Amino acid sequence: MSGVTRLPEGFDEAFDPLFGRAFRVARRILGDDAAAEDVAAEAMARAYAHWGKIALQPWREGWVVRVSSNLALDAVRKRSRTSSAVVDTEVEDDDVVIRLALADALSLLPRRQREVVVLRHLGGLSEAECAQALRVSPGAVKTHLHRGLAALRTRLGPVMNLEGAASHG
Amino acid sequence: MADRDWPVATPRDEMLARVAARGTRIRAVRGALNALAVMTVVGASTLGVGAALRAVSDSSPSTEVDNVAIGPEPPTLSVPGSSSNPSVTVSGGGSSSSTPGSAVGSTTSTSEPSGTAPGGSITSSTSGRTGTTSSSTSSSSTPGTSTTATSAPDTTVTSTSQAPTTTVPAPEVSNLRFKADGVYTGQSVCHEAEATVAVEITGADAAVLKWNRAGRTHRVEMVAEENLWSASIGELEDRATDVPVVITVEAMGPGGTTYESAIVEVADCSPLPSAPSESEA
Repeated sequence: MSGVTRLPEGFDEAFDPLFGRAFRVARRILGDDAAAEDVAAEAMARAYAHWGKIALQPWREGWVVRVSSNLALDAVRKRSRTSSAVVDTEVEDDDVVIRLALADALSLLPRRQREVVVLRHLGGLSEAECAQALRVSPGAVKTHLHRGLAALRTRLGPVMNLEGAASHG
Repeated sequence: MADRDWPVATPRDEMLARVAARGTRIRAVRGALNALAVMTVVGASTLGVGAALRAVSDSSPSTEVDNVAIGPEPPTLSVPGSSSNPSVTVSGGGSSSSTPGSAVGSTTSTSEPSGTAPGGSITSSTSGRTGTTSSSTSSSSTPGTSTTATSAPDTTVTSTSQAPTTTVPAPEVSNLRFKADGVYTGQSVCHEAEATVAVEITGADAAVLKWNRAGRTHRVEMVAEENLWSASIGELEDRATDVPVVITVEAMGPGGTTYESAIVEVADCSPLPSAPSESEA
């Protein structure tokens, strides 16, 4: 830690687990280690900037996962806009198609449903952790999760199996 | 702890340094935006307060008086007993002996022993920031009171405005009336007579009399004798006696400034034989 000065108190200790969470959720959305690394770094930089507010909060891990997932979804949308031709030529890559379809479907969900689905199935948080991160009741998490997954099934159809993705997470 | 669970290719310390640098920039930008927002809010509120203070302090009624006097003369402002019907009013102080009276206005001359009030009425409104209030009051009350001098005190409405932050009472203006040839003429003035406005003011250091006539605004400093302040408005130069004159007394004192506006009619005090008839008009 010689190269970094004036780190906020507790940030160094919390950096590894938070960065790992941010990286994993970003990689699930992006499917690209390098891009996920950049997204996780940006999420942690924002956590650094807001560390005074989130450091002692029990929902700080959920906060970082939410930021990371939102950044990853933005990156997917940006990527699909700027390089749609490339994606079309590589349509045989089912993984890319699924990720793009998932990102589009997630972006169409209501904000709360999207956050619950991302935290639960991409971030790997439990329902209780999701409730703590979003500061809602566990019952509300179940409701949003149910509705969000139903909407994703309707939109994605046979493209992907959500239950399987969640269990693999 | 090192890099055992470290998930990415970039070394942990390097990533932490990168995150810290980027986080510091985010924090700086956020602080600058917050400061800018605060400065904007403070600046806007300062401008708003300044404008409000200017609006409060700039409560001179001269503007609305000008509007009343300069604007087109509505027919409702015509005073009964003017050139079209000169017999209604009784002559004022232009010449104390000339009190022709008339069949209609006889009650006026008998009700005031001095015989000087020619049935004019005076309607005062004070420092209202809406000139329309003043003008509407005058147009409605003047015709009704012009034929009877005894009703004049009842129709006089006086109020004062004070500086809101001062504890010293603002000057009080009362008993505004005219004087000609040393004789109080009540609340109207003859059109060819030298007239003086006299008013009782308490708590004032200075007073200014303003009035409009023929589209021009006149202004003269008032002179005090104890609480009695007076100023000459001279001889009203035209004979448009059907147009009331708006006068304003601006009394300034340590407690603020009090404005009292009054609409006073100009009476045609010419003797009946020489009074202009309707056909001449």
